Amino acid sequence: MAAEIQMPNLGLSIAEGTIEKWLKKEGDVVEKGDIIVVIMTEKVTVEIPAEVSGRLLRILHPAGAIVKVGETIALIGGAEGEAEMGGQTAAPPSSPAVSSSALRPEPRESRDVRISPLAVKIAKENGVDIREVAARFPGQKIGKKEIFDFIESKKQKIQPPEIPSSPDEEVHPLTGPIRVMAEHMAASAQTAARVTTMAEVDMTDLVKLRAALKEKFKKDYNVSLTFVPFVMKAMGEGINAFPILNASLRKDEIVLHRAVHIGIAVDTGQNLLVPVVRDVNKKGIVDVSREVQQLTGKARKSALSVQDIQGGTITLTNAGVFGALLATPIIHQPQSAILWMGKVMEMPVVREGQIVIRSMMYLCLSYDHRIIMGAQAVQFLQIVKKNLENPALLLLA
Amino acid sequence: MRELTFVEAINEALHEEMARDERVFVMGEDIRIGYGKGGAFGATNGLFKRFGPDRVIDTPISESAIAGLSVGAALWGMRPVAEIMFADFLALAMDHIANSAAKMRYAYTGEATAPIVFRMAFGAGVGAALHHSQSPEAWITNVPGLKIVMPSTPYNAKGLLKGAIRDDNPVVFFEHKYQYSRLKGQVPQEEYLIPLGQADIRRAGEDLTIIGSGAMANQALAAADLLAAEGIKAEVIDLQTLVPLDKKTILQSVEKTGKVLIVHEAPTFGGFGGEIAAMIADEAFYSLDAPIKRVGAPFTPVPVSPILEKYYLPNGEKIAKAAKELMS
Repeated sequence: MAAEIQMPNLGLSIAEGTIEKWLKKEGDVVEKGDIIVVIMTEKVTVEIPAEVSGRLLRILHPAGAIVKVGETIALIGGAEGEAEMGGQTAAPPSSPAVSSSALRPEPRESRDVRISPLAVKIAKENGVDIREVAARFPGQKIGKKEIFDFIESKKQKIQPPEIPSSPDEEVHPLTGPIRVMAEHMAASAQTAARVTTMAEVDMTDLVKLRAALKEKFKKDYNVSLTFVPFVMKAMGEGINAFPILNASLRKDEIVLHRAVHIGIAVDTGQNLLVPVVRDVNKKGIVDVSREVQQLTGKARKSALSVQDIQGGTITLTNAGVFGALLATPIIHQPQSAILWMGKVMEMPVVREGQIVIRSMMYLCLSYDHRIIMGAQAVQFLQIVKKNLENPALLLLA
Repeated sequence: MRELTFVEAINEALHEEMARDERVFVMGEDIRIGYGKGGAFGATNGLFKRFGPDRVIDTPISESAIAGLSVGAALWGMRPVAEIMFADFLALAMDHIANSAAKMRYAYTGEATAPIVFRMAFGAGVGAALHHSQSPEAWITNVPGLKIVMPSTPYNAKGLLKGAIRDDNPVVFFEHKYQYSRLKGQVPQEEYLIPLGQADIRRAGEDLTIIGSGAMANQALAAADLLAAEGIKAEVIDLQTLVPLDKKTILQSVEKTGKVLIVHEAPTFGGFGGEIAAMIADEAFYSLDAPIKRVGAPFTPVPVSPILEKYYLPNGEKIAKAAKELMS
């Protein structure tokens, strides 16, 4: 009897995962606990170990396939597994002593892809891998309609421009986190009515405050104090006044999220991860700072859990650390707004008729104009700005 | 246009062909007067009065004699139209039809022909029970040398019968007895012929193809109406002639719809639908978007009880139900 390896449940909101890589191939002997496959969901990569020892009889979904949670992705057989495999490939007639039902049911059920001859033909003509289609429609009959739906959905996702290949190029398959990014960003760009508005913030007082508190934070809380937690707290203030910034559009409903869970974009070198700090408006600057530090640390060590990246209601991204000034960020679906902070730099500005040098920063807010009005977005941004310019208040918030 | 019943259209075809060609004559049981009219169902009404005893011959109750006499007359240059009162009695005439008439051209290198039409009433729905209700077309579709015709409307019954009488091959002509006096339809005054071997697309559609003949072609149309109400566009092919089979029309339709439902009144098992299904699987496999489905009778004789007979027979609702399963 074969043991099934299934697409694991990696969190409530995750319905499917992508097979990133098979570490074992069909026929390999595996020990219990051996990592046999790497699964990627949203932005977390999970290694799946074998639960039993035996032989990897069959890989049911190739690398790159998107598989629903709970669906069987591979079969591991025990000693009798080898006979099973031989039966499938070389097909010696099974001896009458072996009940055919003992050998058949599991692999058959899990491999039961019902595809029409016409669908096979259309798939071939369009260069579609039937296994991918089968993974998209698990348990369903696959006919002409499903193949065309699949082709259409692929078209909608990414339409690579026709680029002729040349010998002078390096080619990588579009897989893993980059593929996820490609799909999410393209989907967001195609659904949201994105508008970006900008504000300049005088950070001089916050620079001073941070300098004054830096040592104490390090000593008392072991936290390196950055501007990010202040911006997050300021966002919380803005959301209190304009809850629509913390909302999602769900079919015909506008969903206002009561909790303020702010996703913070972290660049890890290979990967863009967005861990979530929960209930920002219920936490003080110390707690928020500590959590930001913990989550960014986990992200860089690839140690984020599924829970760490789920449930964000709005996103903050800090590109200022790289020296960037302005941007028009793409909204992280299904959220409706993303705030982008640029570099803090000394600039000449006019104060009371005099040119003075102040520490300035640009905030860029992209919002979904389907549910957020321009005036709401602009006023939200002004609240964020005013709070950052009076940072002492944020210590109390 | 005037309306005729199914049997009136057949009667008119016989009148016209006998008037046109004096080699054409009819014979059968009680066809001169019968039950106060011509034959058991009235197909030969008025022929005796008009054409006389030499061309309208009442026979003993022997289908074997009718069939054998037909073959002999045909070999001597006549064009007999033989009435087998019930298609169930085909078995009694089988030797002359399958082993004499069908083989004539092959046995005599084409020099001898047997231009005979064997008309027979078939089908259930009239409470005629086991021995007078069968649809035995599949008994003889496997015999090379015969043409097998199964009209569905007064219009095509007349056109096909005239076509059959003028054909130089032996033709077995199945007339559904339920339709004789119950089905009316438009038939033009002017003469027309329908050539054998051509199917008729009774209704165009792109979602699935329903193939039927005889009364079942009309039930397939009823099913198409039910399906249309649910947004399913069925194409209905009325075969008209089973042999030679109009493969071209069937295959073109399958290439368009990708889904096929075959209907006949005979039991599904061993029925002619199996041949159509095999032909499609063979020649249009890569056009198929679903398994080929059949709707027919259970593998049991036609029941005596009217309630069971109704349960037994395919109809529009059953065909529509199967079509919906095919579409899901």
